[in-house]
Amino acid sequence: MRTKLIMKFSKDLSNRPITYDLIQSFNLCVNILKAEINHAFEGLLVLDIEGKSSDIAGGLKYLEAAGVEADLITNSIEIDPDRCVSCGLCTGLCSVRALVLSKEERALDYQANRCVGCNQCVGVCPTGAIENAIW
Amino acid sequence: MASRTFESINQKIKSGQVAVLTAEEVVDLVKDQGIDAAYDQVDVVTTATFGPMCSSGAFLNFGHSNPPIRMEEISLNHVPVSGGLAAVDTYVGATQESTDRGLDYGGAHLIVDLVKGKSVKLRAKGKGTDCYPLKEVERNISLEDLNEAYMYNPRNCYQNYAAAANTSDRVLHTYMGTLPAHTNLVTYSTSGCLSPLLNDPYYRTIGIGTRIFIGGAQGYVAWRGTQFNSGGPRDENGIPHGIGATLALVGDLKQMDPDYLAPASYKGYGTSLFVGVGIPIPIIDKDMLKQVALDNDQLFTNVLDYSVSEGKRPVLARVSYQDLQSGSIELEGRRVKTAPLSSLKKARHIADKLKEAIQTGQFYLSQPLELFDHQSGVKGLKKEDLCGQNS
Repeated sequence: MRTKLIMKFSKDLSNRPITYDLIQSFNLCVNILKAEINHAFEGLLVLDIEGKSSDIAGGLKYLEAAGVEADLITNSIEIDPDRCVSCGLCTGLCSVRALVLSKEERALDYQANRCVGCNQCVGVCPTGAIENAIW
Repeated sequence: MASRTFESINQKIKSGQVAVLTAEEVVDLVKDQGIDAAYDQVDVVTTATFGPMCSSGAFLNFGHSNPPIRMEEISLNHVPVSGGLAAVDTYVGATQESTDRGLDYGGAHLIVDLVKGKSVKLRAKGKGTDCYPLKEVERNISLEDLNEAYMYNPRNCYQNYAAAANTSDRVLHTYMGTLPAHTNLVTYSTSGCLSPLLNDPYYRTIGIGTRIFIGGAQGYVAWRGTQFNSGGPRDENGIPHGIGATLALVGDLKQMDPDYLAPASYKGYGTSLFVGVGIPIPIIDKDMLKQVALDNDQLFTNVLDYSVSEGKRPVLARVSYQDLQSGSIELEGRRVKTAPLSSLKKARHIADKLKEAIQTGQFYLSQPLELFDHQSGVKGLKKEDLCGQNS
């Protein structure tokens, strides 16, 4: 299966090679979508991961035991259908084509599996319909 | 065949015999059957747009308090509104930002909140006079508490709006959205072949007094829009190369539906109001049918460089709405992504809704009381000479 994983690290953990362990011990194929570390040495990592369901479950157990705050996420953004007017402005800044206007209906179509959580769309949506669903 | 009149079409609406198509449907009909055969099958074509229209707003009348106040400084939900209209009238401008939330809440949001029936906070101050002794008032009010509330938009429905790109090396935040550097995006804002004034480029049927759909209500074209620019060059189909005409529109806020309006906040720019407008075009003769039958590959606009902020913006390309709507265009020798600002989905919905209203006798056409000219130009702000006096 393929999914997205968000991890938050405390200062104590930010020097530990957690991602390496996920690859090495659980055979997960990892693509780093976002990595941040703040002035207090607290870190945030968003990964696109692919592997067997049992390995992903094993990885999550490992993260829990290591004290990493971790969660699987299906959506990087949430779109409020009551606010979205399908103007399509967000599609212009979505370089991975997770947000497109459908050919026939010209309705906004969000394909979560393509989204890399860059959040460019959140700021440009004029009606405030798109929210960051990760943090 | 004799030309049709507004009156003869209204008779057909009354008898339930009227043939109505949207401006997209009529393109296909004429392609299939040609002008002559199609002419007998369509009396009215509905056009529509749902785009951000900054020059929009609403007049409100609060009614008098007891004792009365002459409201000179007024705000609604912290949005400053006009205090220069007698005692208890005001005008809310859509782009006016609130003093507490800035561009996240402005006049546009306030107008839509009123249409949604929400309560808003009125705060007003006056100096106190013998006839208006009260100096300050604060109330929670909603649309139903107002005497009159009508949208009056000085400039809506640009005939043909230019598309925007940014050739500079920094990101620009504009009313055409966020424009990435190095010409990596083109944004545009019309509904193409559905757009009202692209279907009646010489204003033969749309003029002062034309009944329209506005924000879910029936309203009117009140006047020519500001910056009305009908005199510029046109292409072989009569479509202005530049922005062309604009319309001033009026409609009753109390009859409006929030589905056909939406407040907007553009990052680094400010607030605006999406206004849903539908305008019926009577097919008075075959020439009119030829105009409304133009497809997106026959309708063109300019792509302007928004990185030039002084003087005239250079035209980077001339492109069709078909290309713009395809998602990318050829620009400076490569494919560049395009994105719209106006919602074609909503515009189609409005064109369908207006079509249905005409077919079911809920919407009659009105003949313009006055038609617009084809010679108007637009002036810039008068320049000041070096001595500080107006030249």
